[in-house]
Amino acid sequence: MSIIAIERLSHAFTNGQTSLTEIDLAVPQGQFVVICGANGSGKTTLLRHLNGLILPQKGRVLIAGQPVQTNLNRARQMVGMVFQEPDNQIVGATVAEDVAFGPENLGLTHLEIKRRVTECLTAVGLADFRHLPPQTLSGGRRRRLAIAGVLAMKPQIIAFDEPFSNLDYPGVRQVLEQMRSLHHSGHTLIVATHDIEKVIAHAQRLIVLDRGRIACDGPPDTVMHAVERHHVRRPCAHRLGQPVSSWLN
Amino acid sequence: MDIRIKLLATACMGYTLLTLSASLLAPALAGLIIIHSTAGAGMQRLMPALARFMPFLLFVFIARWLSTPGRPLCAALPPALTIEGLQIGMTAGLRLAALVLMSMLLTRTTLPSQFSAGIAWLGRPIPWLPEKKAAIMLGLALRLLPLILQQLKETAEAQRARGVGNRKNPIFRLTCLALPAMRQLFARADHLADAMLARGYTDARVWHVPPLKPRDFFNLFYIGLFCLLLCRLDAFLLSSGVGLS
Repeated sequence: MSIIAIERLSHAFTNGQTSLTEIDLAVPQGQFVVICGANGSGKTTLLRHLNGLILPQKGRVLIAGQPVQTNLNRARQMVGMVFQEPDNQIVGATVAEDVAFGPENLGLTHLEIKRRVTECLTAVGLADFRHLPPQTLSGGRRRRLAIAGVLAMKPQIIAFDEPFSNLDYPGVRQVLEQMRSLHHSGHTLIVATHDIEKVIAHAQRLIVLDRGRIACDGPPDTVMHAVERHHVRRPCAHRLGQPVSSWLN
Repeated sequence: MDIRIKLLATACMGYTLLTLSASLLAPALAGLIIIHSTAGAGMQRLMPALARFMPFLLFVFIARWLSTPGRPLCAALPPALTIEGLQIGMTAGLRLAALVLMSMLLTRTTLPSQFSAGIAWLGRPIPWLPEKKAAIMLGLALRLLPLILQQLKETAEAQRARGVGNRKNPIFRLTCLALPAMRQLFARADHLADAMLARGYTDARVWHVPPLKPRDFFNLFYIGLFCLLLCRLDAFLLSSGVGLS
C-alpha cells in the first residue's frame, strides 16, 4: 500500500484561479520524491494538502490509507512539514522550547517531551544550542531546527517546501545531509523545489508540475531531459552530458 | 522560583509599590537595582533599557507637578509649580520607575514559555477567560516582538533607500512605512498560524507546569510577609511624621 495516495485532486483558489487539476499520485513508503515546477505551478498547494492545511475540494488525499480530513491530528502527526521560511515556523523562545512545541501539542508527558527534544536536537546536530534563542542561529541551523521541530512529532513523511531558498553553500549541504540521513532512516521525503540541481542526485523519483497538472513523473534520469519544457532548469552537469553528482561529494 | 508563585509575588509586590510613600520608594528602587545586578544586569545594561521609559516617566512627573495645587515652590517661579506638586510628581515618577524595574526583572528571569504556562494555569479559574489562547498569544507576542521590530526597521531602511526622506509630508512618510510593514506582518501571521496547525496546535494543547512544592508556598508567604511589613513600616513613618506622603 502507498503511504500517500492522491486521487483526482483538484483545487481552485477563492478568486477562481485553478491551482491543481486532476492530480493522481501514489508514493510508496520510504521513497525520496522531488516535485519541481515553476512559480505558481501548484507545488506548495499540493504539499499543503498532505497534512490538511488545505482540504480537498475535489478528489481525495489518503495518508496510510486514511483520508486526511477524517483525522487531521493523525495526518499532521504523520506528515511533518518544513516550510520555506524557517522564521515563520519557529515559535519557541529557545531552540529546545521550539522542538518541544509539537510534542506538547500531542499531549505527551513531560518526560517523553524532554526525551524527544534531546533525541531530535542530537539527530540534527543542534544539541549544544538548545538554550539559545533561535534567531541567533545561522540560516542552515535554523532550517535544521525546523526539521528537528518536525521530527519531534515522529512523522513517517516529511514534506519540504523550497528547503534551499536563502541558504548559502554550507547551509545547503547541512540540509541535504539531514535529508539523506532521514531517507536512510526510512522516512518518506517529498521535496518541492524549482531548483532541482541541489537535490536531484539523491532523489528516486522526479515529478514535474506545470500549471497544476502532473506533466512528467518517473525516475530522475528519464524525466530530467523534459524539465526545461516546463520552465525548470536542468542541472548543469546534465546539460553538459555528464552524470549529476551530489552536492555532498 | 515557580512561575505561578513568581507571577503572584510580582502582583503582590506591584500592589505594595503602588501604595508606598516616597520615603520608602527610593530604598525600594535601590533594592530592585541591586536585585537586577545579582540577576546579571548591572547599571550598564539597566540604564539604556530604563532610558526608553524616561520620556513617559518625565511626562507623568511634570503632569502631576503642574496639576497639583498647593504652596508655590518659589516666588520667582509660576504659581502652578507647587511644593506639594513636586512631592507628588516625584512619588508618581518613582512609583512607575519601580514598577518598570520589577517588570523588567520578571521578563529577564522568565522564559516566554514559562509565562504562557503560568498564565494558562492562573487563568483557569476565570470563567470568561480563554486561558490557553491567552497564554499562546502572550508567548507568541514575546517571541515575535523582536522579529516585528526587525521587520519595521528593514521596511524603513528600504523606504529611506528609495528617498522617502525627501518627502516633507510626515503622514505620507508614515503611510509608506506602515502599509508594506503591515502587509508583511499579516502575511507572517498567516504563515505562522499555518505552521502551528501543521505542528498539531489545537485549543486542547497541554501546558506542563510542575506541581507546586511546599518551598514554593513558603516563598510566597515570605514575600507576602515582606510586603505587609513594608506597608506597616510606611504607615508608621508617616504617622510619626518622618516619612514623606
